[in-house]
Amino acid sequence: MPLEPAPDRPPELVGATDQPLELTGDRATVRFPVSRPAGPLSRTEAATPARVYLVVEDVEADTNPGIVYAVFANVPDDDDDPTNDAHYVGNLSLFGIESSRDLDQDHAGGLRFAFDITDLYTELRGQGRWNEEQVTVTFEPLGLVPAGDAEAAEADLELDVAEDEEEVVPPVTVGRVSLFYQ
Amino acid sequence: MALVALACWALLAALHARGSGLPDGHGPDAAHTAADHMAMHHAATQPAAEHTGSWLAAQGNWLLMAPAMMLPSALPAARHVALNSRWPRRQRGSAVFVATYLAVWLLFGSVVVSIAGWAHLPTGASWPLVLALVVAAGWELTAVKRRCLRGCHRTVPLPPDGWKADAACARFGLRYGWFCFGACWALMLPMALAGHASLLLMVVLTAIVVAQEGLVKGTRLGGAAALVLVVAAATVAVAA
Repeated sequence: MPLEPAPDRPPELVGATDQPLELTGDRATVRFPVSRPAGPLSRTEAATPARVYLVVEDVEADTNPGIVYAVFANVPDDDDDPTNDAHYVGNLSLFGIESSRDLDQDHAGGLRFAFDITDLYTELRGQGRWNEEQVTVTFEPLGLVPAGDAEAAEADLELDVAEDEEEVVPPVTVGRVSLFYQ
Repeated sequence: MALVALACWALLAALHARGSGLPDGHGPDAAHTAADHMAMHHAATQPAAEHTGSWLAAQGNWLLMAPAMMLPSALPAARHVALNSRWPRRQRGSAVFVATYLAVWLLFGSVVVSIAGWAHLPTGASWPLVLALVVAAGWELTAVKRRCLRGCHRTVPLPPDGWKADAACARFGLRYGWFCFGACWALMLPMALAGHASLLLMVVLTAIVVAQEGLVKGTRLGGAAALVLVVAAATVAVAA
């Protein structure tokens, strides 16, 4: 369903982590409190956001880890399978991240990912499952799925995982995870 | 922030138009204030030692020049702080950022103005300004300058609340100021020597700073900026 045009008011920060997070190839979860909007949104009749953005900021690393991280929002604590599509937000594609700390490169600076999670917010809120006071964000490393039949692919994947377990995944630093209402 | 910069520019322009300026010895006399194009020549011919004035007045001039010239280039960073702070903290976060950023420049100005006063530059000599412009032109072509400009475009994570948020804004201001100092100290050096007597020179140098720090590809303007500075140095030298 197409969204309505974004309102004129600026996005407002309603919650963020207060310390950096390091991704080292394993699943990682962060939680942070969310406050009520205090800006122009609070003065609207409905006081509900027309847009909701999850922002992953200042993502830096010395070397590219060679993997992608999937991002999920508000995965329930009792959900053992975080690759739950209902809470899927998007991927952190780290192409070029090795230049993020190199001031000799034109593209120095942390990567910034802004995900529009308005649909997810609307759906979870409609079901009464959106926590108005806290947001949970899960990062799940993704590997490549080998081509071929499913069993062979699964076997290859397990082999790859076993091999990968012996390798040290270069760490990726996430400066801040934040939530914006607009 | 923009209003503060504009107010500083207006005050400097008014002082320049009055032909008095603050009594630091850098102010132009009334005979030379009719047109901006004369200002550079005037700045070059004003002897530094002739009007040593008071040290405090010289610092006062720098207090106006530093915000006027350096705040415009910091507007995007201050906006970043505001947009990434909680709504009630927007102005506070920006104020902490700007205060620490300007502190770097005020410290620089204080040191340079003090050294200039202590050195008793020769009366009527334009060579200090010419030399400063040539140094600035050379600095434009260095790799360190480009690294510092890239550093100006980097941000730091800003916690949402409490003393951590204030500390992060202050750290961002210091870091931004440090990189900005590395990129622009040579551009500000001529102004520390010429004072606000040269509005035209101020405009030219501010335009270079804003273009280099504000544009995405500002690091590629080093050659053009160096050329402009060499021309300015030649103009001062010829007019002296």
